Amino acid sequence: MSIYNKINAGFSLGTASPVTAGIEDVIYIFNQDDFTLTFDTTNPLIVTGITAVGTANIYKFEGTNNSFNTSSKLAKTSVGPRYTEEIDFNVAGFSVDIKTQLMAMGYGRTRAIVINNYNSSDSAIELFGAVNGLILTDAERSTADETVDGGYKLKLTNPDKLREPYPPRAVSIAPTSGTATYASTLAAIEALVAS
Amino acid sequence: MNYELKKMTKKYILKPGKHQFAPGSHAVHDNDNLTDEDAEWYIEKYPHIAGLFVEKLDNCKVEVAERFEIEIKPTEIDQQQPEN
Repeated sequence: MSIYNKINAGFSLGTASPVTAGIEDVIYIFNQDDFTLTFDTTNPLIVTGITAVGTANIYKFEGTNNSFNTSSKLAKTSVGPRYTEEIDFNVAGFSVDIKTQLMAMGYGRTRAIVINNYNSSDSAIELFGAVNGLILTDAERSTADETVDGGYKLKLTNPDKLREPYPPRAVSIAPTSGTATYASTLAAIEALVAS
Repeated sequence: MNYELKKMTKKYILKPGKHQFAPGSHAVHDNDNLTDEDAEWYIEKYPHIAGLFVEKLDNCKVEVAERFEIEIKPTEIDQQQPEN
């Protein structure tokens, strides 16, 4: 029987480290086919390893002013819960290079890693699109838009008819020896980022 | 089967967890279902998975020993110069 049909813990109000909103102004995006994942043996909600195929890299998209956002929402289906995922971000720039990346995100599938502002948690760093990937569904540039001053407003979501079977996975990568922490996970991701 | 016992009987030992070998495949590979023959075949087909194994593939005993190396730093007493 699945481990997911019986609850086995309750939760008290987190007053020691109250939950806070938002994600940090950085998103790590990589091609779905470029990396393989390792999951915790007993809990597939935890990603314990990310391995590059060949010399593939993760790409870092930076923003500012808490302007990035993620959301995941349960969708009830006849075959169990599924989750829709959305990542809203923007690019503070305008060039052929940026357009090239947007084209690629529109055709190919990507995955994205985000860092929650609330980092007193084992799920501070989250992976979106673990099973089916994400594609770019909105890329809007209005030259007169004062909120992003003519930059691109972007949205990554699940491809059509494909939702994720799990909530966004927690990324928790251990150092060479020792247990996984927020810092070791971040270092492991940064090590894969294109320089 | 514990790690020590596996080390005696198996050459290729995966790091803990369920691993994807090819991008997008199911994460099903772990030490309980991966034989040495399969491991060799997968490593040949997917060279990037070499890093998923515990030990260096060409020389099995080296990496484990390195991991437990202790760095010895000189203490303050060692650094003190004898006064004349």
